[in-house]
Amino acid sequence: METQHTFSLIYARKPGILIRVALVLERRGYTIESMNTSPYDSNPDFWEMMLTTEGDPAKLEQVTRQLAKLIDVFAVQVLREVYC
Amino acid sequence: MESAKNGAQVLIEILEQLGVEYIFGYSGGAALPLFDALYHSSIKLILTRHEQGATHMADGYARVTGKPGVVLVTSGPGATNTITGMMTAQMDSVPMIVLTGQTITSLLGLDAFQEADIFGMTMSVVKHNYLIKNTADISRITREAFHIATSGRPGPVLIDLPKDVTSAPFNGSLTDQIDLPAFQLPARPNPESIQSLADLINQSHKPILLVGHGALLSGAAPEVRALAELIQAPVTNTLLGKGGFPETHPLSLGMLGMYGTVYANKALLECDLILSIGCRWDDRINGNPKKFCPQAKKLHIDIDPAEIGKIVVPDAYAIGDAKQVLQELLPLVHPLDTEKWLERVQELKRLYPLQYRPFNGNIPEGSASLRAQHVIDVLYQLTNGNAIITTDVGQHQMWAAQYFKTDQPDTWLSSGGAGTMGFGFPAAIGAQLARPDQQVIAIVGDGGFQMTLCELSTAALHKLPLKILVIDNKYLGMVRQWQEFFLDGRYSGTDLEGNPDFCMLAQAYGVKAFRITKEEELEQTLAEALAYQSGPCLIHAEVVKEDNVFPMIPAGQSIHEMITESPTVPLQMPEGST
Ligand SMILES: Cc1ncc(C[n+]2csc(CCOP(=O)(O)OP(=O)(O)O)c2C)c(N)n1
Ligand SMILES: [Mg+2]
Repeated sequence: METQHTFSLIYARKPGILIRVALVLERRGYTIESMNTSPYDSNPDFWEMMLTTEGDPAKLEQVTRQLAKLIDVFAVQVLREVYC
Repeated sequence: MESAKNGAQVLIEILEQLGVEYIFGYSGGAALPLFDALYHSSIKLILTRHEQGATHMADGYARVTGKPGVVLVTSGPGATNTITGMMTAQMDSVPMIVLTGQTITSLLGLDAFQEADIFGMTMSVVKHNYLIKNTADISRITREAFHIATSGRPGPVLIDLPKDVTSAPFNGSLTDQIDLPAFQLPARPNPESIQSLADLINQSHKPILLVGHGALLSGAAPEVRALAELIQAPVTNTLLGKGGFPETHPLSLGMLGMYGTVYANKALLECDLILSIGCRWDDRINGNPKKFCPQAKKLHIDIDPAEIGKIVVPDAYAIGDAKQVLQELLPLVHPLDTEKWLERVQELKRLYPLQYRPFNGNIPEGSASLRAQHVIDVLYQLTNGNAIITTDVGQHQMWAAQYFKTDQPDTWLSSGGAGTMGFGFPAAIGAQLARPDQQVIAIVGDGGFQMTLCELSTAALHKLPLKILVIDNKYLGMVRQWQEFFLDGRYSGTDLEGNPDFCMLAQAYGVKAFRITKEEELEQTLAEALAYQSGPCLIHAEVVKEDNVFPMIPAGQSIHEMITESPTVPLQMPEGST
């Protein structure tokens, strides 16, 4: 069963970051439904990306850890998990 | 004031500062400024004969030294030829820097001559990559690349360098330091997590230590040994873990997994605890993670948080550098009463020894009867195991892993995660350059050797005293073995009819050659070849064509399904990967 997940990524706005994030998700069968980026209020070094995805909940932990492993990603949080 | 140096010169200067001794490369238009800057540099350029060779040489250099190997190539096809080598390094966590020339920035995206979007293309095979668009960024990015390649879990980093960026005057600061606000190094291991490892270990009666490449990368061999001897636990290692614990040690079970020893695999079925030290439980090891040793507690030490729970959900784990974790773990564990367990393990070793006998299968008229296992075993005896071994991929690789025991760290170089044919010989060149005084031997198959053999020129030119042992079974043997077992002997696309005469081939490159076709010649010819030090030499060993690697656990199956002799009926094609 697929689940909708909303991630918040705090990241350094360096070249390629959007592709890197998309590659991690795509490889593990997570489809991106929406993506929104904005400057991160609490720290001027970073930006924040809000991502809504649909994918296998069993892979959520691995996906989260792989996103966090990206060199330019500072932190990843799963904000919401909705079964659909 | 205009700087006297251009971007390329600054880059090379920083590489010198960072201690780079060798660059493995192949030139071309877009890389001209970089090659020009190397002309007066103290860094030695090793001109290879193919860019893939350059990457595997850099890889071999990195695996024995722990320092990143550096590659320099041109744009377009030069850059794409490095992809296999980067993937190989990434899969085995090897530090590497790949510098690629690129078309000028104003032409990027216009399908310019020899433009390849190598930055986009390689994202999934590198730890990180860059496309530099401003000369002023060269200092910072080069330092960042080295930092990323070598810290935490190592890996390859690519820097794409447009020609106008490397030729323009450098107007930045040479001392620009890294700026990686989001990149976090692994923290000190959490003491509670180490205590949780210790608690489970202290309750165990039948522990096994499982040593992976991570143990070697962190230099943890002394700590692994101290732990094994303290708690009296048998130790098994992965293909890349060879050397993390001496395979001749009485507590060693040798390699586990698909082609591992019967006793290592059987011991796993009976143990009550497995402590993985830098092993990522991959499918060659676990067979089928759902059926993998349900009776045992699984403990995991890994520097990469993404490895925890990826394949096997551990009962306890610690995230951190293996050496550091073990140092903190050692005072928390006490000697265990494993006497009965060790007796049982000894019994398994007696019951299911790793051995080969004269070949009793079908040998066609006029074909060789020499077994590859025998060749490798004699090589092991003659060198006393004292050599840096590189291998290619296939049956010979597994026989080498089984019969050439490894006692010292960083002396066994093999493409594990990627299984890249063509790796063995160039990796030996890199290793020999890094360790000029050590005996370096590449054990390669007739198939894989032909993928990168053009580097015979490179080895000959630099008079490297390495040995190339070609195990010639005139087949893509490992694939043929699967066809024999699972596809009713339909040898589709595995017969290497048309192989060259490997000795004549070596001689054409000015490389000394030896041939072995019979058992009687084996010892003397190998000894002669080992004594030859004036340059590279090739040993062509003609071996049994249709020999098989045993034991074998078909992909995706559990240890129970291990086969130890040629099946008499066709087996079902396994469902696991390959
Ligand atoms: C680049 C590449 N292509 C294909 C394979 C698949 N493959 C794995 S082992 C093997 C056979 C290798 O043959 P050879 O080098 O002669 O070694 P042998 O198994 O006969 O010892 C092949 C084709 C691979 N691992 N790498
Ligand atoms: Mg072969």
